[in-house]
Amino acid sequence: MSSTSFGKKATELVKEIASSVESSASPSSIPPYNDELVRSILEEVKAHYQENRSLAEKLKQVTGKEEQEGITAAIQTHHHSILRNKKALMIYLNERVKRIQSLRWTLGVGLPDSISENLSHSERDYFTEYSKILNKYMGKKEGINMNLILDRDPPKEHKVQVRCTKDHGVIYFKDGVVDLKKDSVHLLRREEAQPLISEGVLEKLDDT
Amino acid sequence: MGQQTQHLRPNEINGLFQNQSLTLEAKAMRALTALIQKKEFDSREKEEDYVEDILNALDGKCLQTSVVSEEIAREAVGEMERKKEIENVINRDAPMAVDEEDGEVGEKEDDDDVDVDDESDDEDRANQERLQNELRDEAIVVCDAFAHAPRYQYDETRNVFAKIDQPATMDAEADSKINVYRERFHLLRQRMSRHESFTKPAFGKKKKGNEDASTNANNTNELTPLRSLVGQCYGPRVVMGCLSQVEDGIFHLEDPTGSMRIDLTAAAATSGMFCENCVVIATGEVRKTDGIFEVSALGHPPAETRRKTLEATNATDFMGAAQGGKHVALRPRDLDELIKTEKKAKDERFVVISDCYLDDSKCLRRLRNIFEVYDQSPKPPGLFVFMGDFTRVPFGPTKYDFASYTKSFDQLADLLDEYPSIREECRFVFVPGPGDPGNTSAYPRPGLPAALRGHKITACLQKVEFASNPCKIRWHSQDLVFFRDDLQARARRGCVLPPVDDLGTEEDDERLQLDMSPRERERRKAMREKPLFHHLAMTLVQQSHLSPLPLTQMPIYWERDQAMWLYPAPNAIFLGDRSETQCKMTDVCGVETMMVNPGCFADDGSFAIYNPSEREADLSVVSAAEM
Repeated sequence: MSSTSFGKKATELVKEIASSVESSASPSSIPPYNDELVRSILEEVKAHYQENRSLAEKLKQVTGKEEQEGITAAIQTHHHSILRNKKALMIYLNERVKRIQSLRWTLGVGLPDSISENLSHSERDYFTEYSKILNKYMGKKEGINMNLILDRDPPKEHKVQVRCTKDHGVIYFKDGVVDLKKDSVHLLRREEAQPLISEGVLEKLDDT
Repeated sequence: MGQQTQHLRPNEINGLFQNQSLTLEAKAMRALTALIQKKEFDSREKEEDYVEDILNALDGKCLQTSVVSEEIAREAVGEMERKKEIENVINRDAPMAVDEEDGEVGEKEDDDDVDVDDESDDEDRANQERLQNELRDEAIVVCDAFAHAPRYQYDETRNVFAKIDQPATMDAEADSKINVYRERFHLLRQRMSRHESFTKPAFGKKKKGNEDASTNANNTNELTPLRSLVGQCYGPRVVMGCLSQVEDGIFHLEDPTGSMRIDLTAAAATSGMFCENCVVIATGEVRKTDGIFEVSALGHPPAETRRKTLEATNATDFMGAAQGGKHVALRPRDLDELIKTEKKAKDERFVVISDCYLDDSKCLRRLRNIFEVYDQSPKPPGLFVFMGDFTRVPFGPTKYDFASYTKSFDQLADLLDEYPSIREECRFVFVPGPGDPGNTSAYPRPGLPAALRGHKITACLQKVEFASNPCKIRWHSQDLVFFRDDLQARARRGCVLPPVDDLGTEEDDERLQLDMSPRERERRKAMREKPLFHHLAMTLVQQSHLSPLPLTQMPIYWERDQAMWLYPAPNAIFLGDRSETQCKMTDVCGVETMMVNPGCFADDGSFAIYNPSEREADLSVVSAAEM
């Protein structure tokens, strides 16, 4: 029957996350959390485990050497399938965690709905917790009082010219209050414009 | 620094926000600076700390953009101050929170802290009492079908419920009608796909290693989409579909892939009511002679526990309990903590009264009795739910006396005036019934408008809500649903197959010597006494819907169908149903859902008291004693 397909689902899972790296245009994209597949892999692990237990019981009863060897081999196979499944799950989760962390660096603290729907609830919690820790480190009171997310590449100018892609209300900036209307062009401080640029509210004009 | 810089300057505040890549809206900045100036901190450090606290509160929220609007800023400030207040009280009087008896501990404390100024101590206690009352009150979240219920659409490719931002309308397009059934089907299908007896076994088990495994293998039924039934004339198949009657007496099963004519004559059914438009699971075979699917067994999709649903649906807020800053969606990781808090609130009681005729002197006398008892108790119940009808004669073409209707609410207000502690401390929720004025025929129906209930009642009661029917209430981790409709009779009328009694008699239990807990024994007894109610409870919970009936028999606003969902399975359903007397059914389908009919208060004074910390409902009766 389908007994040859040990670990097949786990491979599928890893393939899924791997292929999403190549296909996606931006590194911050994250595919939806495949809850169903993860659960079915866990079921599989459970089944392997139960099979192993019953095999172990059997092993106690049989006496022939050949039979014993056969059963031990079966146990080995099941055991390695469990380990393999576990490894695949780890890879999947680890890769996702990495991407969630990078979301914080590329997108900032705000998590738009389109992305947050793709995360599981514990992943969403992870994001907020991670963000909290990072904020604490970058804050003034307990941290270094510097926003590390800005200027990961050395900037040429300290101001950027930006165009607004949508109406976004009146925003406070160091140099004064700016009404971000659609298609209006502003010259803003780099550090202030950066979060809005990565969010897609603003568009850099002199991108050289 | 100069005198002008005593307070933090906007630029400095902005800098602090910038550190975390947050941008402030101009309005938010104005609000924050005003707030900080008003606080009059004695040093700049404290001001900075204050801003940091706000930032921390913002951290905890799931922000969608990095631009902080005034609304979000205010929410964060409110949350932060609230948290501080609670922490202060808890830290100051730690033993108070642990011990239940307020009075005793208070005395003890007086002895211990002699040096504490008496006045401030009193003030503290008053503060604390106020806070505790507030917390107790805040725990009850009323979710109105119109004001709060969110809309979701099942996304088949991603297997998630995606929120629809467009508000629901009463006069929806025709597509919405199709979506009602589509969503109901998907809801149950995705729930089913997690159930172990409908998932593929991890790997084929040929050996009969242990009994469990072998029976499991037999029970594992993979669902076949209806379309692929065509031409498959061999072997039994399990299908899932919406039961529909296309012509008189001819039934079809429908799923998104197609439809199939079925023959129910030989079908054995499980318990529950099988009405038209229920989503059912059918086992059977395609008949060779005419290609009709002959159903051998018919069942409802198996129910799922709350916890499992919450885990699997990513804590989607189906109820709309996440209202503003104070309440958030229920997350699985918070469950244990919430349940602990629930256990502490031992004295909490919810009183549910259905069919409370306010224009009836007997009813008012009974109410007076109830209020009298609770007025004397140290802790009045946290919640009174009154379900309609509120008049003896239902409104209709021949009865339209709105003035006297309003007057009856005034009467209740007069009555409550005599019981100040109840008036001030309890929260009141009024759920209209089918006989109350307004648009009665379709569900969900909105709460009573101000013009009908008069001003006296809202002026008299501190916490009162005129909620929709059905109305959902969250208390910590629990969901309670309140619905007033004669659903049992309605559902029985719509049954396609007569409900079966599969329970047997008590003697059967004796003979089989079933090992049962007293609770289970009681449950079975209740099931035998009220078989129809039991069937109805099974149906509602397994269908995850308050009205698994055709729209013609129970009209529902298409775009508001989700207000009728029972998903995740609520902890208790209070169904005010005149077609049945007072009764309750615990552990419906093994998912910890309880269904209670509080009974008709006007007839015999029956009502229900829910003890949320123990998750127990008591059925009570009050007599209309002469005063």
